[in-house]
Amino acid sequence: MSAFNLANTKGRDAVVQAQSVRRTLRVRWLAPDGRQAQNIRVLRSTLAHDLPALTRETGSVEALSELLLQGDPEVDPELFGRVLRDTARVFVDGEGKIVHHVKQVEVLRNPDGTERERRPRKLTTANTNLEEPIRLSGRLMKKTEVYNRFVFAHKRQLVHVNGLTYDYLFAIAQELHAAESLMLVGSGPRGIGPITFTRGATPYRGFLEGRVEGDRYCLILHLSNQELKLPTPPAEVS
Amino acid sequence: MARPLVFEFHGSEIPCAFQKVERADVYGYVEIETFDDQERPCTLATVAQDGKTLAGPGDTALGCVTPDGTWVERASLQPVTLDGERLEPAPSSFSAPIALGAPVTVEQLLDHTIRAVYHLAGLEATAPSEAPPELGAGGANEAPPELGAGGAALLQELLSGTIYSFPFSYRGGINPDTAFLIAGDGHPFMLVGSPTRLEFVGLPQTAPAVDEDEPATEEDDLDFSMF
Repeated sequence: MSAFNLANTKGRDAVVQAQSVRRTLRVRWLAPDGRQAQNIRVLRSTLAHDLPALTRETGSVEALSELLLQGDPEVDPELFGRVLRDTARVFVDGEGKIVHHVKQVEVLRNPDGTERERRPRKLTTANTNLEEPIRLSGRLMKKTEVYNRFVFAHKRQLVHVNGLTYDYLFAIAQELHAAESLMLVGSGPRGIGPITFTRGATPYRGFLEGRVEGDRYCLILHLSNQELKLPTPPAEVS
Repeated sequence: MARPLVFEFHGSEIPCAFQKVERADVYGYVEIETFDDQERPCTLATVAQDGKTLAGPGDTALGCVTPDGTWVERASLQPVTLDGERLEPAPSSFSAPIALGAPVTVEQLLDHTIRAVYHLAGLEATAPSEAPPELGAGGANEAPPELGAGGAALLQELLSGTIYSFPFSYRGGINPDTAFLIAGDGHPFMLVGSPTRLEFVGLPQTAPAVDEDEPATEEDDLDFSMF
């Protein structure tokens, strides 16, 4: 659950909660004797025993082939099968040494794989709980017209944190329920910018749906980064 | 080409080839390249708990063990719920025709998060608008004979806004996804996703502290003598 600063169409903002709606099936796996099994990660090989390292060590692929016929240089008997816990991810250079200072570049590619742009990597920043709220744009889209225009890959449910925000969110839900529509919500002064929940996360377009049942409400923030359409055939790409 | 899905619709079986539509296919994609100080490319590796053993891609594997560390084969494991109830795996959706029952509502579709999009290319072969003029005497509304009229009827329903839903599992498994057949941008699609746990919320209902039927007494008057 995370704090979410939301402004309504009148520009009044309030911090509410955005909660995950993911439903997970919790499963236990039992061994044939009825005892519970658990997953472990084990080591099969290391960078010091992979193809580039062994080729470097022996001087040529031919020499390595000879070595492979004679023994098992790719296996480290001391490490093979070791259970891995508390691991970390690091960058290594071509020689398998840890690199501490790296520079990252984003390469934007067209659908056919050709390079479009190259620029320094820029991490997205979270914008759901800043001083500048996520705004309702006022742009309504009928549910019956929007369900097949976008791929809603994620959702959050917006919930109140106290009596005042209950009234605030209930009013929004009621308006959207009556209109049978989704409203475009987003960052920026017009409420049409992308929404990013955590640093480095994928930005999404937001569509708010409201449902009302008596004095209870359900405000669903649908998140999409894809339109439901077919790729343009390569010949038509300019 | 992948095996087609077979839909059972109004008494006819419709084999339907499909292909995945990724976001990268529509808009392109971003690759991250990493370099060291001397502009040499770097790759990601895993460093073990000893701080010096480095494992590259494919150098680690997953396994299953019992609490005492005995190795067990994954195929021999039985899935159960947290209460110990056995879970039976669902068959692959390719193993039998998929019966399309009653249509579902837009809200039911919106209750799901969508993780995969497939274009039902096989079904589109029956599209009246796509049919070539030399199709035959039946005119543009007649489906190619190998697909049957059922395919054209199903496509027509989807284009008119009908949504069909069914459990979907590509390879079979204990937790099948939900698939939706819809038409978008003039083409038939299958969206595969999972249900969510949306719930209506209200202010917590609490019991009244005083009986509202009881008339107010002088005890309700503010008593300052207690100070």
